[in-house]
Amino acid sequence: MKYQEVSYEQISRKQKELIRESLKRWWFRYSKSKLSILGLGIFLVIAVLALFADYVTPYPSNAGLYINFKQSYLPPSTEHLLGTDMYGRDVFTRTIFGFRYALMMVGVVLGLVVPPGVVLGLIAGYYRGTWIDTIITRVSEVFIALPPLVLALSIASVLEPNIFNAMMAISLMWWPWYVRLVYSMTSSLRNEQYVYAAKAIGMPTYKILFKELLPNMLGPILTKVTLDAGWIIIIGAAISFVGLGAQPPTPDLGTMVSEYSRYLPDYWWMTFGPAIGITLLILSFNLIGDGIRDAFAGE
Amino acid sequence: MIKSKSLLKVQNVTILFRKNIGVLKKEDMIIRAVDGISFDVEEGEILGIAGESGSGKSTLAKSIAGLLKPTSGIILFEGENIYEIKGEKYRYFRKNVQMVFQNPFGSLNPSMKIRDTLKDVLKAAKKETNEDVLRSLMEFVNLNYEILDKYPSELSGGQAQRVAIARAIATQPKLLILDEPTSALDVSVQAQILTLLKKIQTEKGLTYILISHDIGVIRYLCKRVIVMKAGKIVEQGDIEDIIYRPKEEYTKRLVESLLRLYGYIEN
Repeated sequence: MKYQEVSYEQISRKQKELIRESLKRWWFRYSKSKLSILGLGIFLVIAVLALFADYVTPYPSNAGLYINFKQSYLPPSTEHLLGTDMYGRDVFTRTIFGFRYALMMVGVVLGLVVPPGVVLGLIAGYYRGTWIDTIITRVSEVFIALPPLVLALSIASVLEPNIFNAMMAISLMWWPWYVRLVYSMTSSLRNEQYVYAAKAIGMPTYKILFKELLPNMLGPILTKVTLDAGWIIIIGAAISFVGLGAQPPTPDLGTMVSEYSRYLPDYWWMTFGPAIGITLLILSFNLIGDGIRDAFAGE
Repeated sequence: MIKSKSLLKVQNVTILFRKNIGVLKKEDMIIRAVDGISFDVEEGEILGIAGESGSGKSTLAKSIAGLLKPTSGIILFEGENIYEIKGEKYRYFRKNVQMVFQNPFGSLNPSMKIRDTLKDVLKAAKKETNEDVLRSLMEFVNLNYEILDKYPSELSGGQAQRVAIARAIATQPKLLILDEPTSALDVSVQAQILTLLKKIQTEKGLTYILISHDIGVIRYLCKRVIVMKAGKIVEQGDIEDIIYRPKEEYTKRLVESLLRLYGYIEN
């Protein structure tokens, strides 16, 4: 066989090219569905708006505590795109600021939930049938057995109701689902021959878990993460709606819907803004999740 | 107690599997995969293990490779019980006993490039992982270095098995366990892999344990062969004796079925 001389620079350049190519292929499969592009578009617009809320909104001071009764109960107009509320605050501005809290909630909860869930699932699946497995799965089953919303509500009500405790409560009930997902995938993948091969070369167990097993489950995990992002917003909004999450005047979407629902149906535009905001955010996460699932399935 | 010449000593190894049968009334069934097997492997020899599927060959291979602890009996590598050693001695055993699996696609991680797979082996054995080492490995198994940047799914069966062999010899082991190394491959590729294995053995002076249901494959590489049936050794000895003068009915059938497969029966 021919053995052609090439320099190391050429090799690293080739490697970069290959990475770019595999990303391109991934994007090709993702972008085959126009809906997942739409989802990504909605999400990016929302994320940019939320990030630069202070600059893109017409009345940034209206986000929190602000009262101007002269402007109250105004219907949608060019000046106030989604109208104003009972204190004269611009609903559009508050909705954009609400995205900030929603995205922060998603980020914090997923950050608290995914790493421990995945690690525990990997360990339990790898040591399936031993006492380690028994402890981890039994404890997570206890959390799964409790109705999630009820558990979150009771935690949020026992502790002081604020957005931080709401996030803690959601995280506490969410991690077992990641344990479950990763556990089932690990216990089937651990009998693959490449895992035996890794054991045979004397690879340490933590490397087998994170280098051999984890990359092969990235697809389902990422899909679940994006779909869960939508769920977290729903649950977060539900907790806020019953008054156990963020407290007014925090511009949280769920809190806003709860605050403004008293003025339905005469002043419908107040609820319309945050409700459409929640819907769009959840829709975008679901569309992205579908796209990611399809992109990984094609591999 | 232990002869210094033998590299590997398998003493009275038994491996049992427990299986739960039934839904309401649980009944324990015990399967004897390997049943009291003993043999020695000398340094530099190629030992063949033959037997039909389900005879416990692969289970035994896993056990020798240190992946499956036998229910009873001991396996000694250079005089040390491989399931009791720890630390530096364990690493020495891992480095010196390598295995090539039956299905090359199954034994290579689908999400890793060949380069990373090989690097991991070399790292685990605390060896250099630079480009030269990787390329000379690829060259040794007659593969183009461009394959380093591919994923297993992009390779042909023969290429993947060559990579698996490259991985196994990367740590420069003393003993290589080949578990049906050719049975997942096309006949034309089988011959190439066997030639490669023979070349490696003569160049590096390795010891092989070759496991196969194919007497022809074993005859090509081995001198001594062990015939297994239902976890027990039925017959052992020189390969030519086994083929032309089988003592047991089972061996006879095994050989005959193979010869019929190739379209001829000698004599």
